[in-house]
Amino acid sequence: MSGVLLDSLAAWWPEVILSAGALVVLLTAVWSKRGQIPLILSWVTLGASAWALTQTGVSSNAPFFGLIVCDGFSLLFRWIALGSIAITLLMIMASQEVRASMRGEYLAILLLMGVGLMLMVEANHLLMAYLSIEFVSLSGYLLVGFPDNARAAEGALKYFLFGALASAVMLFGMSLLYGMTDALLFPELLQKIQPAAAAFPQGVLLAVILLLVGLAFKISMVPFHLWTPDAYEAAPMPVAALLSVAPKAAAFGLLIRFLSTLAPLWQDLYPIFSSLTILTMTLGNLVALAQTNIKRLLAYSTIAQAGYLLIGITAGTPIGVQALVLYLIAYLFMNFGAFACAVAVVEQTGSESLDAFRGLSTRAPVLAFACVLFLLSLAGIPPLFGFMGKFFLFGAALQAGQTLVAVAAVINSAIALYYYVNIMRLMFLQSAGEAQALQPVPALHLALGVCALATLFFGLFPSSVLSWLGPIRLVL
Amino acid sequence: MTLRWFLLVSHALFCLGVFGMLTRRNAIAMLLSIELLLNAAGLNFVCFSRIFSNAQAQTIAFFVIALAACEAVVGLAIILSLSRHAKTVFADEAKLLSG
Repeated sequence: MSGVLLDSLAAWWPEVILSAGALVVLLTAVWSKRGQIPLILSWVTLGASAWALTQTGVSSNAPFFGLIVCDGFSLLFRWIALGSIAITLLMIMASQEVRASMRGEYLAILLLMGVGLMLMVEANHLLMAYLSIEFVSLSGYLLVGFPDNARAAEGALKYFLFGALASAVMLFGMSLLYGMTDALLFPELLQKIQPAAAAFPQGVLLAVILLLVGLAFKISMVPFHLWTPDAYEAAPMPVAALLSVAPKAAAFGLLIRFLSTLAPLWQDLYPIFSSLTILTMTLGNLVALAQTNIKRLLAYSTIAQAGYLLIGITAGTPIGVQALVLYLIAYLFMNFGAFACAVAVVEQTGSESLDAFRGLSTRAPVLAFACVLFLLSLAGIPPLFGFMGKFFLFGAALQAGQTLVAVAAVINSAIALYYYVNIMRLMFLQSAGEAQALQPVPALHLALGVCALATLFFGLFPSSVLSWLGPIRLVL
Repeated sequence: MTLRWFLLVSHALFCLGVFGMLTRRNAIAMLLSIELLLNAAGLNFVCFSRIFSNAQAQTIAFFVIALAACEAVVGLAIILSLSRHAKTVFADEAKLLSG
């Protein structure tokens, strides 16, 4: 018994360190209300966890009685989770909005969310999947609702009510699926799903669809996207950035693992996925066209980006999944970068309107250049990382014979170019008027620099990223 | 005492929960509806674990009870914050965010 636990812990040190560190941060927050100590401790925890992750890596046995798996697939997503937490910490250091109300608890919740994100992609059991999704959701509601004002409370309430409903529906779907298969572990489920589907064809499909509602909510897939703009607008900017990347990436990881478990049902699920993929990107892009608030614009842009990511799943091939992961890594850098630019502008002008970007090229030339880089990458313009991701995604769709999805995606990219270029037009072609020059703080410079370098470097030399995708062999 | 009756109860609870979520606008009533949904799923797990003689599923019911408590804590904290700032607990009266 204790042997199993010790072996399991050997593969799980990064999460152990992260949880323990979060609790220490929580304790120190009691004594140091506004001090820097919790912040420094958070960085130490994050560094130690990253070091542990380089040491443990992939474990061949199934830790904790098979409840989780630490394979190459989850390793990549664990790095994405740690990376997003690190960039969010940088942005929190740069944001007055958060620092005004920041306490150690905030950092502790952030670190604990990291544990939840890592668990989500390791989950190999229905209970573990549910618990990790709830873990991430609950910390998300708290992070959104933390600032002491009416806007945050309202956004958090909407996020909470939608999220709690989605996860409760998902749990009910899990209970029905368990009732029809008598399997809780994913590998067992894979074996028993075929006979169960033969015995209760409609029942199994209904249970699976109820189950997918919870995940669709997390990746803000249409029609479960309604919370996204409100929650992002209410949340402090760094938290909005985190919510737009980290839980989505983890939910995609879990979705891929889950769908590979349900591979025998893919024929029935495919029509639902392909139509919702097209709907998600089209709706996200069309509504983004009408937005005048930078947070809401970025929120609808992330809905559209989730639509592009779904192409990888709709393709239903190993190449599709690899393309999805490639685009997720690109999305991590370019979306965080775009949000970091918005943090710089919103922090100093105090306005969330697009007009705050007017004449940015003269007010802060470097910032404007970085911003162009991220927006062009999000739009999928050639030498950048975002283009590589889209290229592989659309290629995977064509290779799988899904011309309709690929054509819709290309048309959508053209629509998206309009609102991304509109921000560039404001920055470069409009005069600044009386607006003042911007001077972002060093922490934000670091975040922008990392994101810009990655967006540019991996766009020019994609082979370094492609070699990471080798261990992904999950087939739908 | 067949499985059929238990499932009837759990599905009725589920439908009541969804109905409550869709019709009630009081945030606390919506929170209660979510508890109904979670209990419906918990009841399902307990029934099926009895049928399959699998104790694992019963532990899931315990986890669900604990998680429902956590969710109520977070939900009530958010509702409290809203009622302090916006002086309302009705989800449709909070209209700062839109567009």
